[in-house]
Amino acid sequence: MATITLAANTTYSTLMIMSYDTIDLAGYSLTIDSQPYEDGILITSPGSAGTVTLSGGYDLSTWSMTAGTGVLIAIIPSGTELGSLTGGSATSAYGCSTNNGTITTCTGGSGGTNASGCNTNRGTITTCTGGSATTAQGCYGNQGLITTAVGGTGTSAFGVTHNYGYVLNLTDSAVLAVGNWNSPAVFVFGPGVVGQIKAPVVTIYSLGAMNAGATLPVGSSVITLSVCG
Amino acid sequence: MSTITLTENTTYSTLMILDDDIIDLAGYLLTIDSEPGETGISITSPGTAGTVTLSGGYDLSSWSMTAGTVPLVVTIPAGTVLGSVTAGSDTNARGCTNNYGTITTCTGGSGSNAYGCNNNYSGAIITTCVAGTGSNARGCYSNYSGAIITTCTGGTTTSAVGCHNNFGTITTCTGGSGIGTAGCNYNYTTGTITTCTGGTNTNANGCSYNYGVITTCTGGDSANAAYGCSVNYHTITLCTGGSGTGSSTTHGCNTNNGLVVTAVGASAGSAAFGIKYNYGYVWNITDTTRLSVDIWYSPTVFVFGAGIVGEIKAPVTTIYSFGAMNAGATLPVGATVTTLSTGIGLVFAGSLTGGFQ
Repeated sequence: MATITLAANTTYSTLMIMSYDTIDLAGYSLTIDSQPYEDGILITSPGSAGTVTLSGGYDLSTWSMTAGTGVLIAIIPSGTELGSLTGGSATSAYGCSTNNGTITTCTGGSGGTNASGCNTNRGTITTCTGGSATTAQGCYGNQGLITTAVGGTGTSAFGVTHNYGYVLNLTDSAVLAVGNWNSPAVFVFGPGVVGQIKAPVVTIYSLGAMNAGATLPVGSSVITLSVCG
Repeated sequence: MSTITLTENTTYSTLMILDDDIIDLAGYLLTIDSEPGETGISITSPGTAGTVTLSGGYDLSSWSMTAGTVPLVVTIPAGTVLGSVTAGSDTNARGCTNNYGTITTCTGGSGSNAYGCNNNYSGAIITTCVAGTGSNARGCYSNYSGAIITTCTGGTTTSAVGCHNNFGTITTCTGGSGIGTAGCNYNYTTGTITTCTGGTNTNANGCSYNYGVITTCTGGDSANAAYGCSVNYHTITLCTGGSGTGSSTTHGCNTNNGLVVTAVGASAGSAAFGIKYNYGYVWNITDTTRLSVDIWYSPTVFVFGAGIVGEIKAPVTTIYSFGAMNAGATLPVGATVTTLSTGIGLVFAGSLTGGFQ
């Protein structure tokens, strides 16, 4: 569980690390250029604008990454599996600008406004949670699938905002799980909706009955679905 | 057909005019204070700041009015029937500022922000709004709830928009011949539009930015990227690719962030999809020569299985299907289909609010 601090831009294949090590980018760029075999690696860049480039879609499902003072990853390619991704400590220090892969947990940052975990999601995120900083959303724009959105603690630090895609379960905290909805029709897992679905949603297709903790827009209708067979 | 040039502020009832005469306001105010008996009168004020005041709702259905350098009529009252209103040559020189009446044609001017008819309120009825040649010279600007427009047409110059900001009812929006010339720009929550059709130039979209309800979006039929609807955030019943040829990308809908009930690919056109970029919901698709939906984003989709007569592509991996999938569906390799039912034997009726019968 050592901490490796970069002193120059580096590629993964030249780096000597062991499972559960921490990599402090220290403002440099780390290019992951081949499929890693270490587990539980933590990548950080506290107080500096380190970046990570993914050369391909690798299995990093046990890895965690937290942005520093800049955007950590520009594009997470399709085929990537990432454990957790967290926004950073400066304004707009996104965990990633665009996700095309699969992420288990995406969380807004703690020290900078708009420091979302994922600025735009076009892939799959299991849980998107708002951060503790103002407008540090878990995911700013969802065009893909988020299984569960959870509101954060910072002002307007929604789990997800600008939702064009699918959010199947949502849990409001002091902050809404989903800030802005876009489609007038949504498809959700009813038992998992513990929070507010807002206008312009007018039609809710719910797999299973809606949770008693759901708040729905006035005049909206719910159509309950069940799996055939 | 003589031209009467005013030399001071005047009322209609003191004016000596004959059918088909032209009144040049010459910067003065003409007050129409009684129902005119003459037909075919043209009112103009070229290069000057002439204005018209309507004391009541008169039948001026054969009259035409063109602004000079300022807004011509502040308020067109309810009960007025007017032939044509055209904006003027200077910035903000609108045909009218507020309209409650019935107008055959509103045309934008040559000045910047010179709208033909500005602020059309409940009760207003306009047959045609046509963009002008000035920057942002819309045919009609702000059509409020309860106001009705039959046709909005984009113009010949770049970004010339027929109707901007609709909260009311519009039947047809058609892109123009200039680049970026939307028939209708910004349809809001209460707004309804029946048909949006692409024009004949790049981004000469039928409708741009929909936050309301549109029935049909059809791409244009020229060799350019003229979409039926450019960006949808709410509801469109049908997006159909246009029949443009050559290098055309006359998509029915370019970007869907809301709900499209049915997408249909074009039967002609080099790459005219029903929807180019789908971030939202599409319930039925029918591929023809071209795909209904070109680029999908969400790995999960919710569709009406019987209505899938075409290809759903990667990155879709999970398909929730209301009812069994159609035999004409092509799905991504490895995708799973979960068939859903309401459990009470109901059949989807295809209404915009997803009602069942």
